[in-house]
Amino acid sequence: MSDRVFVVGGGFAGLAAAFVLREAGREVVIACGRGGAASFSPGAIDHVFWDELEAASELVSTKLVAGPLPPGARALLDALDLFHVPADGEPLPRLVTTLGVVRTTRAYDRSLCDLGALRGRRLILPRADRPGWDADSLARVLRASPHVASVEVVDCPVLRYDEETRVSDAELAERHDDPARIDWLSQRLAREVQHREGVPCAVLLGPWLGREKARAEEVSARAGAPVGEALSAVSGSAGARFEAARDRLLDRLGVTRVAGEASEVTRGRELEVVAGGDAFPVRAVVLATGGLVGGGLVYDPPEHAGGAEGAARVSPPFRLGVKVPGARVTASTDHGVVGSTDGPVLDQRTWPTAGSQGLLERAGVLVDPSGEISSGIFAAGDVTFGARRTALAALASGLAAGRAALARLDSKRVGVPAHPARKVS
Amino acid sequence: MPRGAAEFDVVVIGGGVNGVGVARDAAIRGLKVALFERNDLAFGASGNSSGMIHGGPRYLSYDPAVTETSCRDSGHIQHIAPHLLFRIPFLVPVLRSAQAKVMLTLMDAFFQAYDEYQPLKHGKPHARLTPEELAELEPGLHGDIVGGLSFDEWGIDGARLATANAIDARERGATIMLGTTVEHIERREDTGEVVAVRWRDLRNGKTGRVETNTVVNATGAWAPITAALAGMPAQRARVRPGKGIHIAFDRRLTNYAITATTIDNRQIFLEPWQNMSVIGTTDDDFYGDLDDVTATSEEVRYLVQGVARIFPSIHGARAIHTWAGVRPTLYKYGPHEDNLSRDHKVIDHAAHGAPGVYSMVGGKLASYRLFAEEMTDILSARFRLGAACSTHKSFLPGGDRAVDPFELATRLEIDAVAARRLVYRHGSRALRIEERIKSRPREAAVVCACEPVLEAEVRHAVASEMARSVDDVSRRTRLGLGACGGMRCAARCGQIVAEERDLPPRFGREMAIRFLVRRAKTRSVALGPEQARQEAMGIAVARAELGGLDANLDSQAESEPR
Repeated sequence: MSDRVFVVGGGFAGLAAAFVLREAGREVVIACGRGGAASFSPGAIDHVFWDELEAASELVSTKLVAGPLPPGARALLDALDLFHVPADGEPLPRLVTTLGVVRTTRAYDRSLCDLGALRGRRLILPRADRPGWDADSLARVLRASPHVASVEVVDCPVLRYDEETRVSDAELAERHDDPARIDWLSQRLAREVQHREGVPCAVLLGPWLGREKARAEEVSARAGAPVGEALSAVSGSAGARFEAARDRLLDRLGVTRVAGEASEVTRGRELEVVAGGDAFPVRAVVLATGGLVGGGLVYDPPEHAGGAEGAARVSPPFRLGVKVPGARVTASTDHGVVGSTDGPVLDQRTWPTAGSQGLLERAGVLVDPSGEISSGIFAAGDVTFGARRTALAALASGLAAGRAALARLDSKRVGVPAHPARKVS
Repeated sequence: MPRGAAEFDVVVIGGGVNGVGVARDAAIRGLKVALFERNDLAFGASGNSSGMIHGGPRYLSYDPAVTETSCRDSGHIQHIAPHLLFRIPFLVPVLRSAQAKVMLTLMDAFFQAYDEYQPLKHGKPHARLTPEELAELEPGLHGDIVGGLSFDEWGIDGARLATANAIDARERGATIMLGTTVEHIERREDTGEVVAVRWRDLRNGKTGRVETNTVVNATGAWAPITAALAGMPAQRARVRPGKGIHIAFDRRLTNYAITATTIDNRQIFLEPWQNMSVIGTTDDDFYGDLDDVTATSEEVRYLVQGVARIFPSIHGARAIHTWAGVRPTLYKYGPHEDNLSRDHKVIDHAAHGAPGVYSMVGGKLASYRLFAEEMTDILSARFRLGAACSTHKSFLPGGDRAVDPFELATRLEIDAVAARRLVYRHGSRALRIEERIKSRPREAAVVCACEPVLEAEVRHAVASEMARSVDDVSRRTRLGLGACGGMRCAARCGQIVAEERDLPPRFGREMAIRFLVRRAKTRSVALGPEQARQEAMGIAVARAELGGLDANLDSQAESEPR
């Protein structure tokens, strides 16, 4: 092993760190754990939050164009082979949500429909009797939007079997991984497109176009018109497609994937990570365990186990999902002191505000500007953020943590005996 | 005073149960009524109560008249709106202590006295229970229980009760203006008599003036502020505002309501209420902004601590929201909040040089109808009407006949639970919603899956129940109050409201965001660990799909096109 690095967390930050380290030739092990923010992401990669960006651009009347990406981000997004990433200076793509909100984005999952690329085409919305898909009301909303030339609702069948009115969006998306189903759908959509001879059109569907891969391009090619998904964050399949693309990329790079979560990081003679029942001796660790959504930081109010008489134990209400040895723990005043019954006020904790401490710092772990929280242990992504950040911000911090870890490995090429992973009893 | 001397015989200010109760009674008796409500129907105490029309056994020892009137009027409400009521049997467990035996005997005798009033509201007599019986009825009870009692109460949806009264008043000719505040009550310089009120629509800024010689101030805790609009000192309609909060849990945790004692020896309860469980309540003097009353985490902990002593698994239960209201208790300096009288009275401001202005202060949800009757009797004498009150006999909308929810479910091919909830809220008026669905089958779609609420009901709330925003629809239908906190339905509901009201879609979206922000605020004081995660995810989802969630946190000003 010698230079093995363990990355905890398979979201945007963890993937970015693994990517940088592996590209530099290091041995990388990654534990992806349960789904976090990236697994629930809607397929839109924001640089700055889209609503803030639009408000700001309105304020100073600038055009909404794609700004420069963080260094290294394009290489990673290209390697991931899932997102369409416009070149710097191009107009920002405009996605439409299942509720009819038109929003900009910096990059998007290739199954999603980009209104900006339609250039005056008529948007066709097939009706489908499914919760969360109301073509008629969506059409009414879109007709009022300046970004859509014209809208038409059609009765073209897009559901093949009766039970498809009830299955989840993710399941319906998975059915479209079958080439036969893509054929079936394309033929029906092609008929609608041909029917409107001379009128250039495009088709908008729910989040159903593939779970393993983004299938919209295949469907578009065969239907003879652009076909894309409306963005849906609640039950969208874009998060599942990210996980699938991530796993493919990690396998291609030769990163070892460990099933399950990393449960402990310990430092004996050397740094060791316990994950999926195995212990991995490593040179460095990147913690990209996510924020509250990912479960990287667990909210655990003391009164929760308090029984009849209130708090039975005294502890800060947040704890890290991974025990971090030797972290520089700050003398926490706000979070370490627990009141007579119940501990800190909860109101302020779930609405992180700009300028607040990072999550790790709230739990009492000081984070270096480089992302290092202890010798050889680096943190990246939501677990280091205070206010909510975008996917690109997480990705950038993952790239930076990967580079910092690399620099640490290079600076300390002291001999550490190689050990294979050993079983933990 | 002759009828028809002014544009409106009576202007009622306040859209709580008392205001709409007077508007209904006065309209039935033939007066021309206009009602102004600054926020929405049941926005204040009426829609934020414990949801019971209980007889108030608590008041029996020092205010037996209040217990009797509450019980009697509770019986009347049951007659005119049977669909809105549901039984809430109470258990009163007694923990071992030196006085426990004596206490049980005393309580037994006490409830014996309360039983005298039960027939008035068709309640069952109390029963004395052994610890074993209590454990069998509610296995979640914990502690060294030496025995207990049961007694019987009725639950009601206060917001529905106010809505039903308002709809009836409107159908009988009253003009109801929601989201419209009265800015000034004009009086003659010489005699001091009322001549008109000036109003402003808070959502679009429109203003106007209506002539009237009679004003009823039914603004609950806002009563002093309203009195000041007539140029009187505010203390002429003084109340002692008492804040009460409730915490709602995602399911019915128990079959019976359970009383518990707080650390400072106050009676609180955990009650099954509609499809959730509710803990209530606090009673604290209130000095804040009446338009923005919310529960705090300190209050939540105080109540949870009290309930946990007797029902510890409450710590693992999932709180989904909180609400807070301010009681307009009769003013008295000195007594502890809990010992204040829950009686009501009408103040005739002729004594203060403002003839024609009346203030309704005090009162309880359970006796709103009687209070409205007393107020309208005064109006009746003023206008020499001679018509007797009939609000205890004439049905509220939907109360006239029973509808079988299961047959309705079969006819409409909808979920039986959805049909049951629909019939609960609308009684026989559910058949009007059925008509909508028959002519437009797509409206059978479920908008809010937690409650559940159908699209037709949302449209009905806007078209026929005066709802103007997602918040209003939520008060009428309980949309978005379930475990998902509106994450799945608010945006769709906003879309529908905008459509029904012919507003651009953007307004629907803004309403939805405002609703989600408000819901998140009320939830945030009672979050458990799993919810913290869900909350963070919900914010991310709303941000991706709707945008602007943070931006709207502080500015909740509502504006609409004129």
